[in-house]
Amino acid sequence: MTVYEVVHRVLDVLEADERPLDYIMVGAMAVARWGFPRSTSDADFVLAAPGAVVDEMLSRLPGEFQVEEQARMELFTGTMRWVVDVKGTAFKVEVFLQGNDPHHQAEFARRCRQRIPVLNREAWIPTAEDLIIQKLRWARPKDIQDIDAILRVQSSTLDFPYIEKWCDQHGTRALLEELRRSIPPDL
Amino acid sequence: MSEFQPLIDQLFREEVLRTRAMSPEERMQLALDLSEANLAWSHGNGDPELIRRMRLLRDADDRRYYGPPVPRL
Repeated sequence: MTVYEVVHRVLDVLEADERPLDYIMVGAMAVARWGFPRSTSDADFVLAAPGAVVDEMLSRLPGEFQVEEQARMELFTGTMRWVVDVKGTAFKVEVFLQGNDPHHQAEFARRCRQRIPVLNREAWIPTAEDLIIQKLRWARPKDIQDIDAILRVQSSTLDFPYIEKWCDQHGTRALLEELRRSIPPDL
Repeated sequence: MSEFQPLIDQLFREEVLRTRAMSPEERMQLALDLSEANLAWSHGNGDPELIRRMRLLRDADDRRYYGPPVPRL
């Protein structure tokens, strides 16, 4: 199964007419929308649903998708994570539960619809501002690289008052300012 | 500052401008294409052109964060 087919099949289940779920596609795909495209070895989704609904959703994936039996506690996000292997490929799917955090709620409220021509369909992704806010909280090396890319590519189009408001609440404003200062003013 | 820093900055600036010129749809497609090429590569096959682009981007990424590649002797 190709990467395209894997993402397509998951979106099929998430957006099934009879049981559409509230979700956002995060990770490298969302970063590519707002920053630099990069390859990834997994497709990441966050669901705003109880754990039992996630289990049920995963059970509707085709047989090639093998869900690890035990959901994991995700230390970085503070929520639950399900890892799904796909037969015949090293590409994985990871599904996270939306947290109770106020910013997570705002992120879903502001999510946007994005067309993906190669899949001939649309998907929900977070805004550039919400990606930056969340990645500033994690601040792993790859998060810093992604933030840097989004700041450079989106430049002055970003809603900085919104980002700053959340960063002040999260204690990440100093890191945001440091990253903004590192970008040449003429970019 | 490394003597290569101006070159790194210039390469990075060009990469930013190229990325900005792409549509969001093109960027997402490229991310999927690169992931597929990466996967195919790890299985010992795949589209040679995509693999070439993936290597170029990876090398550009390496230069950005670690400086220019060192020639292998």
